Amino acid sequence: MAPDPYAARCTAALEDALAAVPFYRRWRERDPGPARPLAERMAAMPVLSRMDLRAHVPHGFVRSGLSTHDGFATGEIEIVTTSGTTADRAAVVWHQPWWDRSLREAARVHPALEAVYGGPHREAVLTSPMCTGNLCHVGELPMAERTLGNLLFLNQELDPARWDAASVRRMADELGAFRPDVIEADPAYLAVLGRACLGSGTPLHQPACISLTYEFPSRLHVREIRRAFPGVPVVSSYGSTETGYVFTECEAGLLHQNTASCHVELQPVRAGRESGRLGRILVTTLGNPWFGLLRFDVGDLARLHAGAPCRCGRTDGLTVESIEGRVRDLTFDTRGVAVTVRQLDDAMATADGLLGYRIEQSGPRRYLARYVAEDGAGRTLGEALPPLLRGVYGADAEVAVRREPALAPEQSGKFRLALTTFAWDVEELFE
Amino acid sequence: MKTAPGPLDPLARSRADFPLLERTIDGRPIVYLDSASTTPKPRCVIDAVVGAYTAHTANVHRGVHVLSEEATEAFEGARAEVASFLNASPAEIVFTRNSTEGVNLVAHGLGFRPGDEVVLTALEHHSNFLPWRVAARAVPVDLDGDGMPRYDEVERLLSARTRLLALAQVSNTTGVVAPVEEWIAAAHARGLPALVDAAQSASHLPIDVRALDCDFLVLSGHKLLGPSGIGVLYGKRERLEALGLYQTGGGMVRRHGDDRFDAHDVPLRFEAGTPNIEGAIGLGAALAYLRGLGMDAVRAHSLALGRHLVEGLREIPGVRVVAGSAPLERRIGLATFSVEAAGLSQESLARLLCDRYQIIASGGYHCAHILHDRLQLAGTVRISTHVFNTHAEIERALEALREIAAW
Repeated sequence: MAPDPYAARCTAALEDALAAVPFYRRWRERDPGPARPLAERMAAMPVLSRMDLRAHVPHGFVRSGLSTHDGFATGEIEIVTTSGTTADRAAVVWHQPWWDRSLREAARVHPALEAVYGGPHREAVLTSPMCTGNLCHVGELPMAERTLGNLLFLNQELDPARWDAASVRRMADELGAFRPDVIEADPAYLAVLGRACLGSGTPLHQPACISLTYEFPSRLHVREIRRAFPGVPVVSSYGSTETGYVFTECEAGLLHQNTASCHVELQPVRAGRESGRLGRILVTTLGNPWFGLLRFDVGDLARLHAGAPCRCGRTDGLTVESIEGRVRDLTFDTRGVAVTVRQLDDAMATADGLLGYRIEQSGPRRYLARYVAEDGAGRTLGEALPPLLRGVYGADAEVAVRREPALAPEQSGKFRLALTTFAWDVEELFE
Repeated sequence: MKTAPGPLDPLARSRADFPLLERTIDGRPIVYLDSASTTPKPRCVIDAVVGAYTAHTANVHRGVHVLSEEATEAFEGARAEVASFLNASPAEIVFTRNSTEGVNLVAHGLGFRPGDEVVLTALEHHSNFLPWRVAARAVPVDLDGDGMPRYDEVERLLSARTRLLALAQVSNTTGVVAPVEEWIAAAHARGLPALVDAAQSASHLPIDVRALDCDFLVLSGHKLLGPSGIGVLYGKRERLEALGLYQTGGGMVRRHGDDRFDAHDVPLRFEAGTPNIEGAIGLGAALAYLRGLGMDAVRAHSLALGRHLVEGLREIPGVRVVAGSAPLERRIGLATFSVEAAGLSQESLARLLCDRYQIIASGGYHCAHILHDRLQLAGTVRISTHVFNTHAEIERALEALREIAAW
């Protein structure tokens, strides 16, 4: 039997990290050794957290023999910081060639993405300026200053609810002038733009494809995006600043791991606390000498695909049915079983006239649903949401509803769809 | 590295008074070096604010019941405390939201006419620049290549159109003490009023408005260990009385009839609407606390920390201290600087100080865009101290910067 080159690369990544990446010296003694299977060796390692990154970037994660000083001086690497509050923040050693390779390889999962990213292309980015680092202290920059080579950064507002008609028109005009092959977007932001353009009759450039990333793609948002971009392939892509591109949706709708640049483990949620095949995403990066991550906890959940092999024919790496949202956005039903954002969103997407929502759980049985409704749908939704949410959380759930004119994003510019207002132990949830 | 107080930290006993200093990030205690942005609050201030809510929540100046009388007494007691802190009369103390509102009140009340000019420096915080720019014509003394205003050029800029001189006593970006006495003398020699922005200085230096002879002075409570949303405008009584009304409404009016209304005397004529009662009471407690430590001791500690900080920064290769050539004896415990660290913006560097070293510092432009434009700096990092900081904490920050600069 021919050796599995992917397994060999993962084994090499583990052994190389333990041998030559300073941070992992403290993990060496946990390794049961090369005689044991890779999965067992990996599982013996701790989970790497953003707290570890904060404390040890850059030198802790740069392979011995490489000069960080020279890397910075030549521009081969730079420090990039992620947005968010304490738990989400991290500094990352950014190595552009590795990132580009990760993107290219991930794009090969979907023909529409591959067609774009496989060659020269133009790309428009629509997300919070906190995610792209183009928040400018002197105010809004002209298009020319937001265009970097083949990239156009469309947005400089921290909240899409602040976009006025002129902002929407400007972005639509810029898309028309720039004519990107792909729009890489935060779904919440693109949904607002699409809806606003449809409402005002503003023409929207139709790219060859749309890549949704940056945050969890709510079905509500995807629905709005499909309306505004009929016939354009909308592909969900999952990754992070720390890990590169990790999962990409194929044309059959499942998500496949990017085996070229990462290895993924799903750390299972304890039995009785979830509804099956749910796990925390732990990423080991491959082939990045400047920023080697072992079992990095991205903070998100995925549900493993368990049925027949995917229709797209891809078999390497993990295949997941869905990215289920952030761990910290889990809520719990009245029996204490975790409810992921995906599960919640599947239910909420059945509510007619719903534009946005956030569920806040304040006790074992108490839930508040804040929602944004289409014109004329507010009252109906106010009546429809409590029974719908009792279907998710349990018949004994106490559900209150509150209609909002808009929902504000977090400081990072991302929208939180669910949260608990009480503390709970994340680590206790996983095996 | 230890950050425990040493023999050079005479105010170290105050650390226990600040609950915020017990905060940890990633399990390690923070080093708070961002007091120029806002200061942590001592327990006595927190207690004063909570006490106002729990013991005598009531409106001031208008109730006849006991709670209102108690609230009024506490509120006016705070005004007396502020007056005493500045060596002024309570009638000369107007409560505002912050320094910015104090400057705007004066800019609005002076009734500028087209062509009127206000002389200031290009270093001023936006709060002491934009109100003048909007209300009149701002004429700034320019900066030298080090970021220091050419203070001695003030005479050259004064003209028949000049209506006022405005100057920060301590710059929020350089931490250098400005020659306010000379500017005030230059203004008075021409019969002009002078406004002192004491937003930064009031927390580090003893201030005597009689000795300074300034006409107006503004400060912010939150930079003085007090609550946010409360500030002070000091004005000589005759200067305040000559100002036009800033806001009208309840509380500032003595009588309102069909054909006219009569405003109260100063300071109440400038305090329309229900004031920030709890904020004022908290500010009073903060000033009492500082005076308990002794403002001379506060100044000495601030200068010592500033000297330690700037001397340390100067020795780090690749660090450029803004106004680094200014004499050490004229600096409070504040320094703004850039670090030549490839791959890192100054803002990223400030974030790194927090995320990796738990050091809370500012990164960005510090409301001084013109300064950064002049010095062609794409942002800077600012470290600023207060009474609770220790030399060990300064050393910890310097050690972190040495490490980053050597990357």
